[in-house]
Amino acid sequence: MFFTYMNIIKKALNIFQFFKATVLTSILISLPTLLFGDVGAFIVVYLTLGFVVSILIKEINYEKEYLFYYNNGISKIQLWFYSYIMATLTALLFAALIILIKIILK
Amino acid sequence: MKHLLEVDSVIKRYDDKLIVSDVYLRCEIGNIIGLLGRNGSGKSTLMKIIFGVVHAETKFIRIDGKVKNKVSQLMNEVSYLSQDNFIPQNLTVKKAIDLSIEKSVRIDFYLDDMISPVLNNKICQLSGGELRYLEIKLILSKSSNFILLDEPYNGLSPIMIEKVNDLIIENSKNKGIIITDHSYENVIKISTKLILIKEGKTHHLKDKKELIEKGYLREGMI
Repeated sequence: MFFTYMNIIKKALNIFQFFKATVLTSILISLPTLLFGDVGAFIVVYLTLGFVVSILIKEINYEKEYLFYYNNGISKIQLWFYSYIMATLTALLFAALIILIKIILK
Repeated sequence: MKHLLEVDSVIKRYDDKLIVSDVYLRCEIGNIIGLLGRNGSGKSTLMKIIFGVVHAETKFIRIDGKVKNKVSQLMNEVSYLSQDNFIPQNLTVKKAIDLSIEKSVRIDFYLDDMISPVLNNKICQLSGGELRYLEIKLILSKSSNFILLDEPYNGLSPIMIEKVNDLIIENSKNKGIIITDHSYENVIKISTKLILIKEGKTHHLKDKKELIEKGYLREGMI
């Protein structure tokens, strides 16, 4: 039981590492929408085009790195799926932060 | 407990050229199977097919009698060292170890005289030999029962090769290992069984002299 728990934590840390390696690209692609002050558009682009492009860059330039995760027991589909969940959670956090700032500034 | 990896009925073509056509391979715990063959004979392709990262027209991979053909079914039972470096370049050595290895085994890495001086370096700062040694040690330290090593000696100095050979032999006590490399002397030295891939078929050798008879080596090379 303990080892299963440790294994889940290790897998989660691996997925977080993968997510960290893609998130900067997603943010950079979505950033222009923020210049127009549109937070909603930023989140939509971040979770669609930004995410897809960051995965495509991984696929084209760093495909060999998937072997690191396969050897750690995580498939490509699992990496993409859980990274998307992490991206959604960060987007929700970001939206909540913006709403909070707006409330404070009112 | 004895575990068994069996591979058979593998067919793989590239642009209508048959690369692998008649393969049977059986690896038990304690085996070090040396897979030899000329350039382009299909050794690396076979390794990738076994691990599941390359598609084959047909293949049967059985572990302990159960057919497991998908990478998601195999990755907890088989670990694979590819020819190319695969650890993400932005990680530090310590991070790569922590993400890959059980806590109880990590101390062996932290105290390794090849790894400890570069523990806080990023992967991209390592020399080719340092990185290869780290990758081999990481793969061999996995809890999986079977290990595939594709060209492990690439870029290693003679002293590192000796260390790697010792690591492979030590780990073969509780794992089945399949190794391929053009450094045939080292492969022959550590292997418990030799297999030659020629014209897409596996030839199970009883004696290393068959490598000469089958045209892989010339007289005097052994």
